[in-house]
Order: sequence, then structure tokens, then C-alpha cells
Amino acid sequence: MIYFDYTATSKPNEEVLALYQKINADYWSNPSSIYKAGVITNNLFQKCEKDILEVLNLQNKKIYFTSGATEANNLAIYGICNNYLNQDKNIITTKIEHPSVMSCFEDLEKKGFKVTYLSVDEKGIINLEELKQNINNNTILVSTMWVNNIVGTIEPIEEVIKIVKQYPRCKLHVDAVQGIGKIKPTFDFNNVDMFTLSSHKINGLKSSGALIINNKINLQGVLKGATQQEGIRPGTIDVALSAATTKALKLITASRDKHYIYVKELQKYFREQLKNIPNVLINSSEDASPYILNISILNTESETFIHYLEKYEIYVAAGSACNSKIKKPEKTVYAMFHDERRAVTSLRISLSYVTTKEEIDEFIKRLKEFK
Amino acid sequence: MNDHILIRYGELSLKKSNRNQFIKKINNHIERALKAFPNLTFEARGLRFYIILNGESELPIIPILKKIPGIYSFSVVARCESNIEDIKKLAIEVLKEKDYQNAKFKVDTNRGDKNFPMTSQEITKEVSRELFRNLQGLKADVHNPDFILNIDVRYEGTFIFTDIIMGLGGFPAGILGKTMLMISGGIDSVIAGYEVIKKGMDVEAVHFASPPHTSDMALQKVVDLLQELTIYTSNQNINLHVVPFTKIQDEIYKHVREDYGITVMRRMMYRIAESLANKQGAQAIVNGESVGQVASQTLESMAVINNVTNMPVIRPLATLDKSDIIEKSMKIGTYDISIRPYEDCCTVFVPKHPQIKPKLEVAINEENKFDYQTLIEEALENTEVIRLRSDKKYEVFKTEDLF
Repeated sequence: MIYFDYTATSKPNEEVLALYQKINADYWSNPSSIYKAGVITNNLFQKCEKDILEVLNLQNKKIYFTSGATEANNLAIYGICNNYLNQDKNIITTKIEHPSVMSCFEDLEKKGFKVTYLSVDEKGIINLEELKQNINNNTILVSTMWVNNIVGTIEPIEEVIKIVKQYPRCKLHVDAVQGIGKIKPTFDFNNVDMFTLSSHKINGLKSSGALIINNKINLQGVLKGATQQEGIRPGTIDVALSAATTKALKLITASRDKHYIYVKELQKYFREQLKNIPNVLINSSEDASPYILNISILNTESETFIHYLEKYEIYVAAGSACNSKIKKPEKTVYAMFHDERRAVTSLRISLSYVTTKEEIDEFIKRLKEFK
Repeated sequence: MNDHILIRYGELSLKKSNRNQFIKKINNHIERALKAFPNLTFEARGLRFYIILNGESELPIIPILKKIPGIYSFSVVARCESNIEDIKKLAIEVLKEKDYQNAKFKVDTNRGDKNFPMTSQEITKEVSRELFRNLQGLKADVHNPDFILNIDVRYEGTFIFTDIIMGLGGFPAGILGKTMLMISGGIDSVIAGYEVIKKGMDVEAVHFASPPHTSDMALQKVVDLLQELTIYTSNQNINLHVVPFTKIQDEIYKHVREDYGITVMRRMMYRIAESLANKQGAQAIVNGESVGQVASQTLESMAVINNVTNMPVIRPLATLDKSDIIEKSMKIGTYDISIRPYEDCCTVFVPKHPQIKPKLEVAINEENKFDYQTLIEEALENTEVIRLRSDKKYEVFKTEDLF
């Protein structure tokens, strides 16, 4: 199998799986129990929190472990907005968010919030002028992704921080799912009020993610239940899963910069091979994340080409896998180029530190053979 | 631009003769507390101390500074050469960082360098003029400003800042000697510890453990509470003396009339605390007693209990309301630990009607019903010391290092 869909998910790391297994075998008691076994399990859970903050160089932050990035994004957005229902507040996001952010904003719009969806340029970079024009003292939340999941654009979070900082009541949420463990941030996450990470995108396990927020923020939990995780995210804590996420993050972060250099080289190679192939347009900008290469093959719709490649066990995605059952032009590519043909024929190729040049050669060979 | 942090010291002006020693102590504390930031450099200038950031962000440093006793206040400052052109340029840069269009400000100049060719008023005027020329929408209000642009002209350079962050106050950690803190695991005693540390005293802590009446979880709770205090101490550590108290408590229960149980128990605790204090070179006992809060904390009870020692007993919370103590504990982050639901030595064997006006003769008579002297010696011999450090969480239950 030649897998080019690491943005959708990645293979769990063996060490991560072993840890998950070990904790489920030996430390399966409920960490909220007050007897010894529970306390020990809870110690492991606290180590997860401590290690994650440490590996990401964070101070004065707290973590809520969730069932994944979707829940974490929901918790961040509703956690803030539910404090301001029916108060005519403004909230801001972008046109290229993941559905787990976008759908929240669309829902809140129906509930009476005034929502601004920032446009992006041809590189997929959000329009900061629009942000400046729309943010005001009535704005309570800005949510933007760090690395776009469709084309890989790295958003200017540094600038966004500066703008949002001028409005003390406004909180900044960053969906960092595609950046964490892959890209070295040019900004300090300590300056971001809330951000989301996912485990299975970094060789961890599915159904696990986290929302990391500033200590001082009072979120309103979305789920109601007992007092686990301060009652903000109730439900029995899955220590094994949290530990697996912690381990995955530690492993990927330790090799992040080495991987980056390698994948950057791969991406460059890929782009060279694509040159001079008729009907192929590259949608990702050169300074986007090297882990994602979005292209359009103008003479075929994405789905046709995906099934063609599938015969050779080559896997690529059309847009985001989370939304691939819905047939409409890919919204990020459309937002960048306003070109419907380009959007319906776009493919997302995503790379990993385990990808090889031979795999790229195979892809190129099949692409050239395609009639 | 904001590349320095300026530290101002606290109650030092009161203590002229010891000033240098005090300052040195705080400076050392600051450097030790910021060990994790190797890029920082430090500059001591008389009554001021500068942390030079060298590219580090000030954000993680601010909360650490807020926990160092003896720092009155501090500011993140921008520095330039002491000449009017550079000062003007820097003042504009500093204001640009502020939300100046939505706030009124004024300029305040302090000229410490008397060789500087302009007076402070002239500097204020000239800088203000330059600011209005360069920044649109700027609003001044010299009587009720929302913020002040401070210009501090000194021989070593000029420092410009707008915000003053309050520090912990108090005296440099440890400068006034050592105390023995009686800690139970409740809300009060840890706050008493916090207060004496803030006021320049080191603490050793004593905890009375009565397994199986109390659990290891109760001990973990005490450990976690003290761990929160380690960051404030000069050496970033606190020794916890865990006294095995079961036998004494069982004997009291067996022999002593019920309403005097608590009185006698407290007398035993004071005796042990005093012995440990002497052994450790601590000069006072500290506890979280607050007058009138419980039966053992009436003036009559305190008199009978205190009678076993001549050592000074410091009760920082003596006159505080419970609600104030709770507020403090929430602020320093010990409240959530204190309310964990484990029995401690003070909550087991609580009599239904404890004596609130005990008599000394009765107490002595009651405790003489068993050989407490031997039991105390035994308890002291078997006391274990746990060394708590700010950088490493101590776990009563050893947990495997899995990841």
C-alpha cells in the first residue's frame, strides 16, 4: 500500500500501542477513586498533563482531554459562546476551517451570534485586514486554524495574536491539529488562549485529543456530568488513552525538526516531478506545510482519480476525509481560487516522515499513465 | 523592545543596616528561581535589579517573580541610552504596544541621573510633544490617566514602561530564620505556612500521621499542599517530618476523659513540634490556629495547650475570618487540595462535646494516666523526613515510570 493520506490519520506507533495496552492491563482502576489503586492511576493521569505542558513549553495552561479534536473544538467554541447567549456578540472565524469548527460557527450564527468568516488569498492565508476591520469590543471569540488541513497553508498566528490581544475580552482559539508535532511554531503557544490537538494525526490513537487553555479562562462545559476534569469535561477519565496521546506527542516532538527537513525535501521532489505534466495545477503554496500537497487534475474529478489510484493501492484524498461523503466543490480550494473546476478536481496528497521517493515515483508513473 | 524586567524591593527601607544582605538574598532567590531560562542575565544596581531577557519571553517569568518574597513590584521595561533622541524614539515604540487610542495617558519622568542635561519636566514635555506628533488619536489626561508612561532616566540607561506588576511583598525568603510548621492537611495550616514564608522565614513542617485511622492519601494531601509552598522558599524545598502518631492517639482515646481528648492531643503535638524544632534549629512553632474557630482554639484552650512550651508560637491566622482564609487558599491554589475528603489526625476521634474551657490541672492529671513521655520519644525516633522540592512532585505511592 502506498499511503498519501497522513492528514486524515496516521498509523499508531508501536510504543504508543504498547503503553496503551500496559495501562489497560495494570492500571485500569478509576482515577477518581480515593483508594490507593485509584490514586496511582490518577498520578499517571497527572503525569500526562504535566508532560504535555512540558513538551510544548507551556506555562499557566490547563488541559482537558477529549474524545478528539472535534470535541475539543466544540468545547472551546461553545465553552466561550455559551456564556454570551442572546447578547448580540460577534465571533470570527475563517472560510477554510475544519468542519468541527465551521459547523459550530454556523450553528451559533443561527442562535443569534454575528459571525464573520474571513476570506483567504490565493495562498490560503487569511485576510488580516478583514480581521482588523471586523474585530471590536463586542467580539468575544476568534477561531482560526494554524495549519490548514486541505492545502497546508500556515496561517500568520503571530499577527492574529497581536490583533486579538488588543481586545482583552476576546479569546483566541487555534485549531493546531495539523501543525503540532510537524511544524515548529513561529509564535508562542503561551500567547494563544485555547488550542486543540489530536492524537491520531501524530501516530497516536483515535478518539483522543485535547483542548489546552489559559488557566484563567472559565469555560462552560458542553457535557454535564460529574466533576472529572473540573466538571468541564466530565466522564470517566481514560488514563490509558491520555497516556498514549502524551507518549505520541513526546515521540513526534522529539523528532519534529528532523522529520520536517526530510519531508520538506520530499515535497520539493514531488513538485519537481509534477512539473510539465499537462492539466496539473498545484494548489498548495510553496511556503505551506511540507506535509500537504494539494493539486488539481483538471481533466478528471477527484473521485474518479482516487478510485483509479486505488486499483494500484495508492491512497490519496479529495479534500477532507471528514466531509468526503458530501459532494460539493472543496471549500478551501474554492475560497482560494474561486474556480469551481479547480475545486472539484482537487486532490490532497499528504506526506509523512515514512514516505519515500519511490512512493512518489509510483504516484507520478500512474498519474502519467492516466487517460 | 521590552527586553528587561525591573525589580523593586519591598520592606527594605525599614532595615537600613541589613539592606545589602537583604538585597543579595532576594537577588540570589530570583536567579535560582529562573534557572530554567539560561539566556537570562542579571544586573544589580543598588536598590534596583534588572533581569535582561536576551530574547526570552517575559510571560513565563512573570508568574515566577510573583512568588518571590521581598519583591515589592516589578515592570517589564524597554531600555535605551540616556539621550533625548533615543528616549523619544523608544517612548513611541512603547506606546504603540498599548491600546493608546482607547485610553488616556500621561508621561511621568524620573531623573535619577542628575548629570542629564534636561530636567524631568523638560523631558516630559519634549517626549509628550514627540508622541502627539507621531501617534494619531493619542489622548492625555494628567489628572486621571488610564495608564502612565514612565520614563526613568538613570546613569546606566533610560527605562521606559507602562505597567507595574505587584509582587508578593514581605521579606526575602529565609532571612529571618527557621520555623516549625504544624500541618494537618486542612485549609488553614498551609496558609499559616505561606504567611511565615512570605514574611522571610523558612519552614520545616511536621505532620502527625495516624494510620490506619488516617490514610496515605491524607499524607499525599499534606505533601501536595507543601509542594505548593516550596516555590516561595529560598531553597525551593521544604522538609516534611512525618510523625507516627497512632499509638499516642490510641492511648489518649483509651485513658483520657473524652472531653479532654483534643486538649491532651494538642499538648502532645506541641511537645513533639518543640522537640523537632530544637533538633532542626527552628526558633518558633507555627500553626493555623484561629481564635474561636474550634474547641481547641478558644483562648482558654490555647492557654492550656500552649503551656507545654516556652517556644514562641506564631499564629498568622489568629484573627482572620474563615472566609478570608479560604479566599487566600483559593488564590494560592491550595484550596482544591485541602478539601480532598480524607480524614486527618485532627478529625479522627473528635469527641461529641469537647471542652472549650479546659483547666490546666485537669489536663495534666488526664495525661499522666499513661506514659506519654516514652511514647513521644518513640514517635520522634520513628519520624520520617520527606524532602519536597519545587521541581519534582513527590508521590507517596510510587508510580512506575511508564512514559
